[in-house]
Amino acid sequence: MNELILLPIIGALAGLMGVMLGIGGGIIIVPVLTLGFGMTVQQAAATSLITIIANSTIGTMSNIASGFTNIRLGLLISFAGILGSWAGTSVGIQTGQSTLKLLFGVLCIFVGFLMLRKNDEKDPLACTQKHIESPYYATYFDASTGCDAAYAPERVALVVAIALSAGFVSGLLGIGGGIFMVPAMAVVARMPMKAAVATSTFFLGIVAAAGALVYYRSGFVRTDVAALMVLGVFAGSRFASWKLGRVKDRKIQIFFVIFQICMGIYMILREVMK
Amino acid sequence: MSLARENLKMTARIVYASLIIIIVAVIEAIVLGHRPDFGSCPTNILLGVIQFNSASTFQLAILLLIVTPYVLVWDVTVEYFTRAQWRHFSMALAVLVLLIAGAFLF
Repeated sequence: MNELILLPIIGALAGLMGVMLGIGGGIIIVPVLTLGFGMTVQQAAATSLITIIANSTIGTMSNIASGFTNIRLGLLISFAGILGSWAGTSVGIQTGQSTLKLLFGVLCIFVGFLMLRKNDEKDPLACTQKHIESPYYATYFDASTGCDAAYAPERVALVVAIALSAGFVSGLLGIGGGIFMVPAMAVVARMPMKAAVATSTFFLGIVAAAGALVYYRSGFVRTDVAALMVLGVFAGSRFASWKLGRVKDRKIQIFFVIFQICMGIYMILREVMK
Repeated sequence: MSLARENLKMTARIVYASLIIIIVAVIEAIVLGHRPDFGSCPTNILLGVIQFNSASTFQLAILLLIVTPYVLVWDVTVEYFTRAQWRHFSMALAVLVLLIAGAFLF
């Protein structure tokens, strides 16, 4: 009965944090499930991937309707991500608990520092009607400027390579991979931030589904836990999008960074001290 | 070029269906308690669902959720590429289908 109440609450918190801080829930869900509920990293990763699918699909539906998602680029990087995810899950299934926990601890600290360096999101795109010759050329209506914005992603091959790696980490540790894909598309491909975030969200769901399928077939998905967390994530992310939106307050971001780094250090120390 | 929300009907239906099924499973778990599931084979899942076994109902919801992103891809491509460059991307779609099939085989 405790799980029936606790799991949706944790899911809701992960959903809230996801929307408010612009991160996937996996980085919160996996350590909480392994440290708090005694689940193996594989079970926690599988559960996390299921919640990422729900979050990503719901987000993508509204992003596509708004025209922010670059569908062509999204499909291309998803192919790479699927391959990476299968490799990651295959390695993850065969890797020992201690190694995975150590890896996740390092990832938590890395993500924490990455968020510390995160700059304010500024859309570098000027309002333009010019057509750019590229198979990935896309436009969307930018409400802030009041006109259609056009862009063509650059260095697509490099973005595909990053998607392959992001897929691998996603499958291995059960995180979304948005922490890698958003900077890849915004910095490497020089896409507008709105398009980068929306295309990354589209990518995450497809890649998470590929990984989740492999974990499901291997019997690592605790369906009851995953389903209860999905309910919470859904409620939390909807509430955050409706009432809160993205947080600009640096204090909350710093609180999350400290929480993340402490959790990473705790996971590493726990394994090293054994 | 953007798609309207109504173009993604199938995805929306599956998402909301899986959420409703999860709620039904939670109610089953509370009312009827925990019972071992019948296994993860589709026939056994359906057998469990019609017998109000919450474990099987949870499995059905999760399976629906796992296929949702691929339904989304289907919705997007059917609505988007038939009007634009379907031929250019039909090959890519075929690869995606092969990759999904690969997940079941390996």
